[in-house]
Amino acid sequence: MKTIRRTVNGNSRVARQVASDARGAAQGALCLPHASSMTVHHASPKTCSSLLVFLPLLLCLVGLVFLVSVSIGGILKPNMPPASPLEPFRPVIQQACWVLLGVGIMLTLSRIPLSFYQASAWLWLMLLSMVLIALWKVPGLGTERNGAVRWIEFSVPLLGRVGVQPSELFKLATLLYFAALYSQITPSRRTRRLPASTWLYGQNIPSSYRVAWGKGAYCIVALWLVALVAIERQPDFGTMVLVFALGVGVSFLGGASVFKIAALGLLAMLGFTAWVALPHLTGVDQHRTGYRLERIRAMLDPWAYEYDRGFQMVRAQIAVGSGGFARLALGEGREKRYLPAAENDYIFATIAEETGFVGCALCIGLFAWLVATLLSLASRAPTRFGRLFAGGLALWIGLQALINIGMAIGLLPTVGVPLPFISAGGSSMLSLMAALGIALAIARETR
Amino acid sequence: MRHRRAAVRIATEARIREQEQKRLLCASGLLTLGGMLIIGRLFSLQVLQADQMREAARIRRERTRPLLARRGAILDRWGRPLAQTDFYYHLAIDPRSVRDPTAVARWLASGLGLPVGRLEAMIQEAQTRNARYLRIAAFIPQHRAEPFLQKYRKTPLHQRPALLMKEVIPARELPEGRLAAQVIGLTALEEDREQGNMLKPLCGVELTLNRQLQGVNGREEGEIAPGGLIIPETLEVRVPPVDGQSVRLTLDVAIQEAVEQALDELVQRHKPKGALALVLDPHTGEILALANRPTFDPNTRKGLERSMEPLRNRAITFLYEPGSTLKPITIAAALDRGIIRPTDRFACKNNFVINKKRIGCVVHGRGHGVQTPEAVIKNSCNVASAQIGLRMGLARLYDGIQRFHLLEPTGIELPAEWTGWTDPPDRIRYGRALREANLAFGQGIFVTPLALAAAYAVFANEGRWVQPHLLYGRSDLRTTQVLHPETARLILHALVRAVEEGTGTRARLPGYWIAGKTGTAQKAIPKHGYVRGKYIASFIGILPADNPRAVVMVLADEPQNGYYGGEVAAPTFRRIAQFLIWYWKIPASNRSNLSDKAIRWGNRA
Ligand SMILES: [Zn+2]
Repeated sequence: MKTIRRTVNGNSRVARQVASDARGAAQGALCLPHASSMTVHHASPKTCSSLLVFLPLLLCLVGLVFLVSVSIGGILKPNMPPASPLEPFRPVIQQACWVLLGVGIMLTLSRIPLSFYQASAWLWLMLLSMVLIALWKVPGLGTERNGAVRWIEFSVPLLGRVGVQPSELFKLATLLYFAALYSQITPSRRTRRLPASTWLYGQNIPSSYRVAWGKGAYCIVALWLVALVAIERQPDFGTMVLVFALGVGVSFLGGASVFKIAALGLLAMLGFTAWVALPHLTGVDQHRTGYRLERIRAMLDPWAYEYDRGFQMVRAQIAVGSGGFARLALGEGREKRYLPAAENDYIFATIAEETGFVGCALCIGLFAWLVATLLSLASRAPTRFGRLFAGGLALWIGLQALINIGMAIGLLPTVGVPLPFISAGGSSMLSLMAALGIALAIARETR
Repeated sequence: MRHRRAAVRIATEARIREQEQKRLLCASGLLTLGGMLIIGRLFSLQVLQADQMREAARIRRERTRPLLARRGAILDRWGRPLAQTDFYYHLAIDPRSVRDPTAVARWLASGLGLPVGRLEAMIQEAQTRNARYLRIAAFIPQHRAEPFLQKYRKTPLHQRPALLMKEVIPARELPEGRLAAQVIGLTALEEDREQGNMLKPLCGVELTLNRQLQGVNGREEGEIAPGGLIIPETLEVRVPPVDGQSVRLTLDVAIQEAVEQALDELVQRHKPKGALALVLDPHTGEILALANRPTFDPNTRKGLERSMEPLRNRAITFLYEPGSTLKPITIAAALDRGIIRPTDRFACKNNFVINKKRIGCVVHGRGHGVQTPEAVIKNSCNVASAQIGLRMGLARLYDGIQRFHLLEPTGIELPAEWTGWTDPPDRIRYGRALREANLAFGQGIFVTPLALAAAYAVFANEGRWVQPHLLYGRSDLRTTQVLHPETARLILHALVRAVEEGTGTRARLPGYWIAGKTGTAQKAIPKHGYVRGKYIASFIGILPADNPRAVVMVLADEPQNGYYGGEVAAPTFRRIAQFLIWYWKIPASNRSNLSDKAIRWGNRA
């Protein structure tokens, strides 16, 4: 009997060794590898689950604190007179409700066995894709806010009119589906000699173990792509890119060919170039789509476009820069008065202005901790679905935070991507909490 | 075989796990890279560029708002306003701040008296455009807008229906309308967001006395809210505005009104190209009234659509040959220096020839005959004047005229004053005799009406010239003794006779001694000669001659239906004089009164 040694940082030498070990094992012994026997120390599953609850709640708390701060700034906005003294704090109260609701959903979803999600993933993606496409094509279904049709509004007692952003839930559905898709590895009848290829070249799963890309999968992925177009049409380019990246990222974690991903990336780049350039080349519909090039120009040099498209970027950078190295001046930030969407897309600017570099680093550290926890879960979960889901969730939170912060500090153009757990917004909060609930379920099964 | 297959499966699974690990590592590396990038950028922004960013924030946040100073009023001698500044408001709202267009429309309508329906439509339209600024009313007088705004300011922020913004527009109001429009002048609104809207003077007293009138705009500095208002809590600097001072003029609204009316009558009768009437206090040099035609309405600017001519103040921007009206001046100069004596006799035979040029008098028959200087003035005799001019010589003639300040600007508080002009004697090479003769009866010299009126005031003021002026209570006036008081009295007496018996009989007023001289000059263009059929008719009068209170000048440029000064200008003078007698309650003169005061011609010999 020989135990197969496992490694996290599998360089080629170790990989070969593992391969030879596997062959050796195949010749004689039979032993299932133990998941937790890794060289890198990981937190115990118990700590992992408590971290998965504690860290998001801490981030939510940070979000609520700065939401209050932004609301105080709102009082001093004489051009938007609030209807009542409590009116500016409405987003805070709403957000607190969302957090509570989110925690409830998280705890509920963590009780459901993983197999349910794996099995029903395609259904959620299909449903949400259809909702998104309907939002795009059916007039009057969505509600326009700030020039974008992203919301479907409901009247909820106690909370008033509540808007749901299907694109936020779509992120979760995408993650679920791609994790489910890539976890379906069906062993083939024939056995073949395993190629000693490295992971860089093609799919490292032997051809005898293939991802079941059946007809249904093709259909649903096609539907997913249409839904992406629908998101772009809202218009919400940022979310579209994020969801696309999430899908591709989970596929990457699931072992999709790097070549194929690179080709897809190249294709996306070409598509993006065309998206930007075509309105200018053809002149068709230029008044509506011509902003794309403008926006990129404004992103490259926002200061030159300060009183045009660069306004938000400049004001956000000024806000961030005004924070200095270390500071604690909650509620005293001044730039939030001028920043549009200071309570969601640009909340990081207020955090930066009121807590300085140290506060920003701490905030980023919290995100890093959460992402690291999820990554560690991703490397330990017993099922492939769990691993892929946890890894994908880490990618989701990490990427979204990076994009949002990058936007606030002028590295990326203005896109409507909220800062996870911190930005005001119910849909984002609920879908993230739901995803964490599933991650908790994974953590529960990892012991 | 089964074992083998299971082993392969296990090994494959191991490979899959291994691949997953690698890819996870790769993904986490990517995320870490992004995180590093963001931390680096944050460090650069917040630590390295922090001061720059704070400065950039300060510049963008802090604003200076001007506080408007009120331009001083222009008053007449009794303090009645001729021009004053009112503030008007342009009111605008931020349509994005409106929750209920109907309620806001009703609120605005009740406060400002605007139509509800149109307002509501405007707000809704602006909201669909997503506009930030909607002007709801323009030029609302301050007194009407201020109570509304007061109420608005007292409303707590959250109860305000919409964000109101105002722009203050200063406007010049002229309560007396067209009275002395050319004297007062015009202002134009200069819009300036930094310094504040200002009324900039264009002409008239507004321009010359601008330093007193203008005032200094103040400012307040503080943090600006997105709507453009300074947040009261952040007010850092407040420099209050300094209002301009009021200016009191020597004009008298009542006299001015009468003069304007008299001039209207003249214009109606004779339709001149331009006309002018002015009333001057001979003792103080104060201008009591000054009216010009064509004129305009300074409130509506009606009259200025086609040309700027109505802006012209002919009292100072009009040069003409004084003609006969200069004769008293030359004769006074000659008498005063003893070149002629009051008892001297000059013959007018109506065929006086100098340098082959015949000088004649416009009189039927054989000329005026033998005359004393007094009669020369009374008859307005060209031939005798020419003889006096020849006797004086060019240098003394020029000097005499110059001492009446006719060839220099009077220095009145009006812009762009023209200067009287004639060829100085040292520049005349040939034809001196003819020049002497012509100059003596007012040809070859150009003067402004104001300078001439001021010169006539010398006769009414015991030979003393006082600078004519418009600013009340000036203490820095120039005065010079031009003539001996006796000479002045002699000329005054001669001028009375000119009205009583000579050319100015239409200016006569029963019961009052009026001194005056008519002038009828063919229009001349310097260096080009005379224009046929175009005349300037004028009359300068002093009333009452026994106790002079006013010098009145009436001038008509190119009158129609007659062109003699006595015919065109004297009746207008008469009307003005009638008013002044009524207004000042001047007691009637009697003959002995005049005889006592004036030295009889011949007594001096
Ligand atoms: Zn004669």
